[in-house]
Amino acid sequence: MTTMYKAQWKAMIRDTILKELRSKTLVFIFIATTLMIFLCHALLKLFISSNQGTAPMITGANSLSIMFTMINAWSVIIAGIFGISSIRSDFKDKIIYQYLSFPISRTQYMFSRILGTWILVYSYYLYSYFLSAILFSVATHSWAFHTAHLISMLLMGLYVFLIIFISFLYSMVAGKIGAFLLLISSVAVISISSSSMRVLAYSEYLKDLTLFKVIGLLVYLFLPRVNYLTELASNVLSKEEITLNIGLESLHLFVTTAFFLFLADQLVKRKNF
Amino acid sequence: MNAIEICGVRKSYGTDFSLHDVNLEVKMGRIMALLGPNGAGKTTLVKLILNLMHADHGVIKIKDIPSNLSSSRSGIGFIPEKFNFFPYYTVRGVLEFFGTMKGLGGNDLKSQIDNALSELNITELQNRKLQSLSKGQVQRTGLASLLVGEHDVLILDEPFSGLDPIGMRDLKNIIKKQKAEGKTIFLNSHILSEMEQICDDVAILNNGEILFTGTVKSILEGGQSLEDFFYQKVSNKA
Repeated sequence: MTTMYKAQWKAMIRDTILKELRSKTLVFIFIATTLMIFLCHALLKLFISSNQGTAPMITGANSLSIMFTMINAWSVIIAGIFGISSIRSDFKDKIIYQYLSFPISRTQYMFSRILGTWILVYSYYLYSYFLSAILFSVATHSWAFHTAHLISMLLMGLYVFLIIFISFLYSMVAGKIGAFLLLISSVAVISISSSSMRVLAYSEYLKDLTLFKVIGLLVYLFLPRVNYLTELASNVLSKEEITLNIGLESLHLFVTTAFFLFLADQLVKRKNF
Repeated sequence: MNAIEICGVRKSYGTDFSLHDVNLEVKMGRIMALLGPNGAGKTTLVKLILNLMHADHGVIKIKDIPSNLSSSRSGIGFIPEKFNFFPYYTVRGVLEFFGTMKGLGGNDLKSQIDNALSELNITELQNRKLQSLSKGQVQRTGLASLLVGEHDVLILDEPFSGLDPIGMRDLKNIIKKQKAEGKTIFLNSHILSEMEQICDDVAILNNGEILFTGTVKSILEGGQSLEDFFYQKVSNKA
């Protein structure tokens, strides 16, 4: 990588973060999350003090796991919001003309925007986790940090990246609200099709075909099963037995994601601005 | 080698043609004006040169490099009709970002920014955010960005738009200075009197077709002003 190339990447990623940091939505989300974590901390303390001796064993680690599940769900929405706005705001007032007149490829433009957004959303995610971990450790007088959280955080990092990427892809073809609705529907459809198809044996895939089953099968086979990452993260957190076929699911996720990255790259390259 | 070479370019929007088999050469070190009435296809052509749009047919090369390659834009400075950037950037921040994206860094970047600010008389605005500037001051910031980076081709889309008389004079001086340094300038504008003074070559575009390419000198030697010549060409075709 030449020095110029590195400097361009750095400048573009920094520019993306600076842009999103100005967002009023981010400020609101940041304040709301902080208040929510403090509220949960207060409720936890209240619960512990009012149930001294009678309550089941509450530790920092298991209460944080519950909180963590909430943060994971919330992070998807945030990743979607910022993934979409990372490019839509460039279309406003045709600022994108300036970016694309620089000697950078459209692929570089796309990935620098995605990476910048990912850094911001994941930083928010880490902030939420560590604030919760500290407060919950204090409330329960026990160590809330756990190795399972670390593994879960890494999995969620990848998940957040994929959600930002899908949001970016949708924002190329739809407006802000349209792209957000498409994202939420896609995540829901992928999740539903995964849970219904996974329980079937391969020989049952083509039996009793209905329209819904065909759609579910197509989604299951050809779209990245991003929900696999959240399920795995959740299994790790709750220390449940992992029933997923990790090798097969990872391979499917890798291949379908690579295909959609290629598709997004072609879409960005061919788009007329 | 031409600075810009456009061969057989066609572009349509649905069933409406915007450009029909456009052929145009912009020679190195010259100033060429692209003239045409509203809707002639000037902005579409500029977008195609910068690869913001893709032609249905034909080839565009910048210094012999196809315009779809990012390296073709390595020596290009571009300013749109209304320069716009994110309002939270300071004037200096804009120039730093543009310079970095064009491959500058360290002392080179700093000295070129200082020079650009001084040329455009906006040194005192350097720490002000774009949101606090007037339209003219924002446009000057855009013009300053043309002086940051190692360009040899400048593409200016309606550069006189939004400038006050002092800004227009400054811009003309910049264009002349850049030409004296051997740079190629391709611009489109409606202000024909200004074009007559500063351009070497003109191309007249109407309804997506190139009606004329030649030197300003040859037009003036024919006893017509650029404005009369343009009017005659465009109204004959219409």
